[in-house]
Amino acid sequence: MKVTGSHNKSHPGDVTPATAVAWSCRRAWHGEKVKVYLHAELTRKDPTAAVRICKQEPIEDFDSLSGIVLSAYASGCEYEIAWKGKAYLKCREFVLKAKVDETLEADVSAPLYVDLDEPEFSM
Amino acid sequence: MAKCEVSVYVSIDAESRPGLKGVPTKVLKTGGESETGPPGKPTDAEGTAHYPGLQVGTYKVTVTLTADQLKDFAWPGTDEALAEDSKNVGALESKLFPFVVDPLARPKIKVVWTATEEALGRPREEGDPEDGKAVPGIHVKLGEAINYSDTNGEGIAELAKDQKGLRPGDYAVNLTFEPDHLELIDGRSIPVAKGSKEVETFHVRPCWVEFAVLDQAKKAWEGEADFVLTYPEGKKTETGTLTSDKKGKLRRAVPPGAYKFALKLLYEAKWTAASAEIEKPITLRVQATGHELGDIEFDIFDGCSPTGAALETIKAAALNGTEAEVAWTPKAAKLAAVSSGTVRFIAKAGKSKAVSEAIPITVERVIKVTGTDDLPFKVDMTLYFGDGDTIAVSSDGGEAKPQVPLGKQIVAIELAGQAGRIAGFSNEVGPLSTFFLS
Repeated sequence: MKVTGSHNKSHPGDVTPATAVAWSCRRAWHGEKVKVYLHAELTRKDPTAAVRICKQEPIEDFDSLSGIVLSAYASGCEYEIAWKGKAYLKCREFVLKAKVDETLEADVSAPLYVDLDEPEFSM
Repeated sequence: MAKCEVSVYVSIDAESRPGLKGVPTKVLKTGGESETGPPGKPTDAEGTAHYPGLQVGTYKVTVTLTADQLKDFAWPGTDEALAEDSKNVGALESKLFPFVVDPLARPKIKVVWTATEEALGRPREEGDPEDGKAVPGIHVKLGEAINYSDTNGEGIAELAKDQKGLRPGDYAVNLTFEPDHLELIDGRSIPVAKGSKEVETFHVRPCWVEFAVLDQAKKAWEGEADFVLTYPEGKKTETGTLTSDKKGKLRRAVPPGAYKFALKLLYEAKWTAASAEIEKPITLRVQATGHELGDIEFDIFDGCSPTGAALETIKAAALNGTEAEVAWTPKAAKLAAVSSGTVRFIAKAGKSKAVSEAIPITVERVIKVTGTDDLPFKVDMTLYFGDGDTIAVSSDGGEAKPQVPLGKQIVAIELAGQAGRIAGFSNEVGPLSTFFLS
């Protein structure tokens, strides 16, 4: 942000905070621990951050990482795929949605493919 | 022998023409071989000095202003101390020798505040107590050479007592401020009348500048960042941190002029293409304000692991306006640790950083397909990767050159309509395998 102005006046300048969320990998097995990265720029210092895990197509809330502040995501916030008893049905791809400071929304992340089925082997 | 009398009268050129006391006078009889006369005397309280019992003749009267008197009076048209006049004085005659001095002026300069809403930081009230308040400590000069005292507690500056008064005329008034964040509202020349002791009032107001950072909702920004405030003509810069408790506002008492304010920020880190290829240059770009080119670096990471040690760090090569960028040529050797098939970068400078999105990065693989007869074999293939991604390719002329995501392993190759045949596969590092196609 760069502003030029003369004395005895108040000069407004704009900044546009932004945020983005991502999985640490493209594919994981059920039971594996993965990481969630959430980045924000030009926000206030260490705001609250709510990350939701959603089923893809159609996007539908599935799980969440709540009560964690932004700084906790800086080196990746660990998340264990422990979905026994959760109704994932036929969905195998899961995306992240995030909201920082209750107002700033991230674009939907690239999906994480989760192997939720028993592996099949041919003899 | 008949006698005569000489009277000297020194008056001030003012309304009631008062006499001036204590001016030394001297009377000399001229026309002879030498000038002689009675002892001189100063004017009395009425401004007169009488010399009775003189011989008839021509008399020269000299009147000399003392050093003290010269501070407040002057003979018209000259700065000399002495004035003289000669007259014939006849028998029994009492002759008056009048002298008129010009009173010099000692105007006073008064400096007071003008309360403005901006300066007060609150609404101005009727009869605001700040309005008209005396401003002490202002240096005052008339023209370039006439020094006044600094304004005192009542805001008044005046000529020093031992300084000569002013002759009538227009005088430019120069005010100098310490501190320098004041502005003279009504700078002007003042007309000085003969003998004036008027008080000329000048108004100053404090100068300030404010920068208010707003977010996209036009609300006060609550972030924190270092800043650079550049004073007019770049004479001075102030750096510091705009802390979140300031709610995006920086206000300073400053001298008048144009100011530049920049937050030291990096934002909008972007690739200039949707994907990168090994050995093909791609540009990394970030919006940068308040930073110097040499401060800006780009760290390259695996797209899925943007922490820890960077795979490669490059310095920004250009800063055009607020846009910093560098062209980067990905090298397989430096990106050997990439396992996600994507890369992202973090632009950094001082405490600022901005993270780009992850983009796919690919490397060209050459897959040769031959039949059992060792001749080139054309087949449509689907390459399967460990994370489930697939790529469709065709081995035209027995060779396929797919762009394969960097770091991803080919775990399966599906061939279309080739059941019952045998094919051998090799890439640039050697044979892959030979398969019986079922």
